[in-house]
Amino acid sequence: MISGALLCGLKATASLLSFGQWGTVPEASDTIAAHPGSVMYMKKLISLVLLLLLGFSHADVILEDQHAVTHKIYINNLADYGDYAFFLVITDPSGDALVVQVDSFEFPDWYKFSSATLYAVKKSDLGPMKSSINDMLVPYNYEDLQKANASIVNGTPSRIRTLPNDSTVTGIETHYKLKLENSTFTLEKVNETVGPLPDPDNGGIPYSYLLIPIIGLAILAAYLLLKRR
Amino acid sequence: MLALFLTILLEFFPVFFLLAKERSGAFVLFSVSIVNMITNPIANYLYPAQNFFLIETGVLLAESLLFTLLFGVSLKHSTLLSIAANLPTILLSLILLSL
Repeated sequence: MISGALLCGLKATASLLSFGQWGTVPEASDTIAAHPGSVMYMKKLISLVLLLLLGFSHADVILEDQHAVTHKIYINNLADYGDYAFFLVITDPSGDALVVQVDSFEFPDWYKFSSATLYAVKKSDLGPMKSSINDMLVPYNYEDLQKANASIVNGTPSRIRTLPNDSTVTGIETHYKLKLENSTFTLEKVNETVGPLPDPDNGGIPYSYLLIPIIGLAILAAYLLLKRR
Repeated sequence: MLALFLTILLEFFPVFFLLAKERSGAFVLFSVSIVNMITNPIANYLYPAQNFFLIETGVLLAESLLFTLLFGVSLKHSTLLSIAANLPTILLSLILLSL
């Protein structure tokens, strides 16, 4: 899949390059409005993107008799186990594993066709994984996780993504509690709340991820306004 | 923040190379920074939960439109700029993921 996508990307690049005339100085006429051919080009571009997206389209289709559900999962007492680091191993359908550290109250999400398993590692056993914790540019490595004597946390939560249309539930919140017995962690469900709507305080993109794009958009808008004047 | 700075750095060079005759380095750096301030945090937020290629396709499209606005070039030029800018970061991500 990766090589196929790369091949598509390279073909698209070659196709775009074949339009030629790269490197000319842009003039006022070199804009979308001044190019009658740009509309045709836009159509071609959208068609190309739609074709590329066809490969993923099956992934986001909800069956006719189902509706989407927002399911938030929380581990209430994660902070109680400061001596341990927790990692979620997300394995995609092709078998590739992505390791994500679980360091907040809310449990991370994963792609719906992937599977997820939670691991616990004693911080003193982290070894090479320490550099990944300290430096976000160093990705976590599944082999390092195995070398660090990671143990599987029993009862990794499963996520509900759709429900039949005869159910009115659109939001679920499940709270879990970590329990350590004989060096083995287990996740126990504490309570589950279902409702028609997800909690607005916990929904949407976290503030920290929105602030920089908002600043960027503000600078862009200011620049475009100044340019127009 | 570090991921954002690295992405800006990686995207600056191909865009500057392609626009060296037309735009100053400072303006290219400004534009690439603005574009990545808009796309990079959202892509990073979506990354664990969504398909990598779906996110990258969205980033390519968004950056094409933003480059058109900033550089005043046609869409085909901005698409090429966007692909050239993002190809190194996509490849680097794939290499890091495969390690």
